[in-house]
Amino acid sequence: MDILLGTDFEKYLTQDYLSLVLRILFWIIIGLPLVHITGKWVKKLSLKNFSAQQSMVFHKIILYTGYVIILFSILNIFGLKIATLLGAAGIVGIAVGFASQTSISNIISGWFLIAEKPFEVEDVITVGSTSGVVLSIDMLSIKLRTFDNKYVRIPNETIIKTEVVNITRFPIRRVDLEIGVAYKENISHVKEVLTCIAKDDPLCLNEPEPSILFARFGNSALEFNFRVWAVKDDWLTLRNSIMEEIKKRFDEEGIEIPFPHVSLYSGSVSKPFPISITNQESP
Amino acid sequence: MAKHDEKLWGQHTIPYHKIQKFKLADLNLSLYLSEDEIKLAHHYSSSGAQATTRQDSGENVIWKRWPVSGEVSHIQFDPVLPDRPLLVKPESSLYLWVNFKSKFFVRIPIALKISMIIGNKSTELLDIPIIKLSNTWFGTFQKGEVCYSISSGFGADIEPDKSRPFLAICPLRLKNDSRESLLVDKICMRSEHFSLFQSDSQLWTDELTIIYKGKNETSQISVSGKPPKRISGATLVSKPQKILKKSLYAPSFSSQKDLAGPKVFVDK
Repeated sequence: MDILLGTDFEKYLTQDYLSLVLRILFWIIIGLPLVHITGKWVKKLSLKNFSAQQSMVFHKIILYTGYVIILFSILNIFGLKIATLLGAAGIVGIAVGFASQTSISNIISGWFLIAEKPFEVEDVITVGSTSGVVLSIDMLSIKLRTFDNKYVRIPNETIIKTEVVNITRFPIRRVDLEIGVAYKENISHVKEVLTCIAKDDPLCLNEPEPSILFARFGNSALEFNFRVWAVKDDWLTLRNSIMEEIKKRFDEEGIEIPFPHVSLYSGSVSKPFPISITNQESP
Repeated sequence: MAKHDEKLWGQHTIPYHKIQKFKLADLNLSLYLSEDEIKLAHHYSSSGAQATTRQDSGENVIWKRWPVSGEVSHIQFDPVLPDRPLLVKPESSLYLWVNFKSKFFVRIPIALKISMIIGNKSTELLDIPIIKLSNTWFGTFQKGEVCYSISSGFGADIEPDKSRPFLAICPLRLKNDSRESLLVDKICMRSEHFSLFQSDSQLWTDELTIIYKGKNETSQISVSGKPPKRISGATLVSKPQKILKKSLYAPSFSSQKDLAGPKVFVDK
């Protein structure tokens, strides 16, 4: 107790020392929350006039600028000159740069992603085998929410090097269906029924026009490519509703959707496969 | 039993605890009123037998519900214009020479606005198109807007049709101010700027003028804001959703090239 209250402790209770501590606390207690509040306020305000992607960029700019200001202010309180710091940062930067090439590569890739804009926050993208909604484009990585609600982090460098499919970039999307009908069916009738199905579905756009292409003589069926267009938000609903409707209407019209089958013939088509039973002598 | 009322627009009294049905063109509307809530269901006749069966069974009908506080004295039906632009396709090819202007008439389907009246206060419930309209796309593959698709004869004259109170007549003035002749393949009519007038049971919109400026230019669109001169004693029944003070410049005509069909589909 005597040690604590001794002269060593008392020498820290000077006015200069208390002022230094108070100034540091000011930057931490007031400065940091202020930066966060300002960032959130700017994000909220910019969402009214800008896209989610742009407001995220504004938010990050405010945050990082704020952090840098707070850091330099605190270092300044300790008497460190900014010019000296920047000089030292150059030397340290080279050393750190060599040690963290991947991170630097990710940061630079992140800048390219923001400048090139292959996708934005809230777009649905596919990277390799992962599909999901873009949650954020950060300094080192992008974050996705997959459709089964998983959180996926993909490094920016990977995005730059990989093929990225932006599913929701354009306002309309095509639903591609492959439909097989039995060989006995009338092709014109099938096309007529499919045209009616497209016409009756309110989610199916009249233009671009639906198309029905007779694709090929398949192994078990006459195969058609049925392609209809929908607004991107209705794509999945249309895909589901139109498939249900095809089954229903084909059943009503007596159009057979064949399952894969193989016919075996021996010699002539008209004769049955010859099977003969021979009596075996018991041993 | 569906009610096919000649007096379509205006106030209707709905009995409590009884499903009241209305049939307006393709639209079959059911309303149910109780002390606590108002329920509404609709389907279109052309949507097939299943929908009709659902309606009759009274069990699988998809109702929309609104809680109410107070006695609902009436239900109000008002005509309103559809909530999306209309993409009108001429039934036969229509050409406009350079510097030529012409006037046409187009019948456009309207929607039904349903409101409930409690005391002196009217509360809007919802808007439903009276005719089942199909969606279409106006624009390119990269940019555009969803519209309702209709076709029209683009007649130079028109007669009021009392048997179809769910169609309004839109006087349309087209002018070709470009240097090339214009094939009118489709016209996008932005109905949100239209006012709706009624004269002797026939609904009319104000006059729409579209000036074609060229292939790569946007067209100049203006609406008169007044009932057409040829009708007398017209009353305003619906104000525009968006008031157009002067002119609007927006794409209004489109060509086959915008959504080139066969090239797009045969891409594999």
